[in-house]
Amino acid sequence: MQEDASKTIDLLPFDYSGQVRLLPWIMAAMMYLGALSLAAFFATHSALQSWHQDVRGTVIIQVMVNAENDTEKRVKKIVETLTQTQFVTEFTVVEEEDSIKLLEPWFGGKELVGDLPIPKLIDVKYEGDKAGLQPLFDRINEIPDVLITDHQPWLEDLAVFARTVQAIAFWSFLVIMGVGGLTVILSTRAGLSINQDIISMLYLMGAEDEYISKQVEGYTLRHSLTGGVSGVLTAVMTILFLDYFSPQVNDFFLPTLQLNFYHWIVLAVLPFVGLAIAIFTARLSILYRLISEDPYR
Amino acid sequence: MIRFENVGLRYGKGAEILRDINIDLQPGSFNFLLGPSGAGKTSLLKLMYFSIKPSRGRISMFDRDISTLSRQERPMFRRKMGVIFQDYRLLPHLSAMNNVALPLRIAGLSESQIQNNVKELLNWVGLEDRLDAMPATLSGGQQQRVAFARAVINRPSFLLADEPTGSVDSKTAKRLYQLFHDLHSLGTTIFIATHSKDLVHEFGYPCYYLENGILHQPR
Ligand SMILES: Nc1ncnc2c1ncn2[C@@H]1O[C@H](COP(=O)(O)OP(=O)(O)OP(=O)(O)O)[C@@H](O)[C@H]1O
Ligand SMILES: [Mg+2]
Repeated sequence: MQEDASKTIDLLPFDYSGQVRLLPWIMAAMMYLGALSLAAFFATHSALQSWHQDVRGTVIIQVMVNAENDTEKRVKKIVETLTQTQFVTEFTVVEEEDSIKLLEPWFGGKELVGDLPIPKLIDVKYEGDKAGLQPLFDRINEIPDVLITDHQPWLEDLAVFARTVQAIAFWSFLVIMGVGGLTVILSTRAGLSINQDIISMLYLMGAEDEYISKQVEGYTLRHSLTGGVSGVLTAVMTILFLDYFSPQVNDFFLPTLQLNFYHWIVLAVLPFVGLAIAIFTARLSILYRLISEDPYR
Repeated sequence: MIRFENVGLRYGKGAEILRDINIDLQPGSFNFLLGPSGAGKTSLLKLMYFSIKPSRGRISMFDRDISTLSRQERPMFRRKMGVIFQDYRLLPHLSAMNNVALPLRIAGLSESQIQNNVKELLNWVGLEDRLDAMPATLSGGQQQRVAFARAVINRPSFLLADEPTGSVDSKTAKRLYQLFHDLHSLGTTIFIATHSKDLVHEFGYPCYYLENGILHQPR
């Protein structure tokens, strides 16, 4: 009975200090923010990938309605050209119904679009580099009133934006982790100052650096773990919450929070990484402190 | 056991409070250090348990210059020493028993060994009924006895005591000195700083005298 009690005695009563008692809360907040920025990083990463996948290797050829009214003839010519071209894996002449549907977001419903001359759309899929298609584009461009569009220019802008967001998310993650580490250093130092007398007593009784730093590490471990796990759990709940409400705002531009299996794994591991960082920094700061106070240094 | 050669000590940029100290304590000896308040007795003891560094001179222990000890070696040297501090320095959040157990825990002894040793020793100093008391609830004399027990629990070969009978009545003081005497007869080297001459003379052990920074050898 007594034996059990004595095994768990705290040689360093860190809890005496209000400052140090904040450690789990600060850890929780740091881990929460850290997990969210990491999730944002992953989500933008997934978004970028899916945008590229959606549009990579496609061009759309628009055959405009013109005064000569020979749309069919021109489409036929293009189709012939496409059939002869290497790299083109697949192409579809989009039915008028579907074209209207495609244009709807830009021009409104059928009643509005209906009166407009609808261009014929040809959806072309190709493989390899776009540069390989240049001869094809040149030949098609000889045909009057034809427009070749690919998504690249606007996609590039969007990608630059997304990459910026991604960089900011990752940078915030690093900063948050850094601040978390700093917090551990500061609270460890505060704890050491408060327990200075006890620490020097332990020394005088023959304690080794290792022994003393274990006391502090034990404290850091218990408090960072509760803080870290609860912070990440709260973050996961926030992500799931956002994910639940996201279909309503989701479209091509906002493929929000599509985290894959590996992303979830990383988030699950995060508190333990945070813990390792916390213990490591606590250890470094205590050893630094102990050695710097050694009169025989 | 411990040897001072021309040791001088100053705190910061102040004047030297200890000058040209020469001591050569023989193993198994019993020594007193007398001197008025502020003479530097506590400082001299601090030098002995290397909590401060001399500004000049050489201190050696077990024939090792302690300034050459590595940080890793020092704990082993400290475990051979027991120190009773003038202000006891009990850990306020630990019970009497846990305070006394501390040196053994640090040395990595098993809990069952610790429990028995600690109880036995607290019994010896007459505190068997205050095992679980916190330091704040103990009288000065009781705290002093806990401090004594903590200093001797790991059977040090060198026991340093700073005013160990400062807060106890003369009867308890005699009893404590009896404990020192018992340890001495077991072979422990003892060095006690005090300013109460009466007890010192009663024992007739060699007595160093410290005044104005100068240490006078025993006559
Ligand atoms: N940490 C310190 N910094 C500066 N001066 C100190 C320090 N410790 C002690 N002194 C000074 O050194 C001198 C000797 O102090 P010390 O505590 O060694 O005396 P002492 O003989 O133990 O006195 P007492 O019998 O009252 O305990 C005193 O003048 C004191 O003011
Ligand atoms: Mg003193």
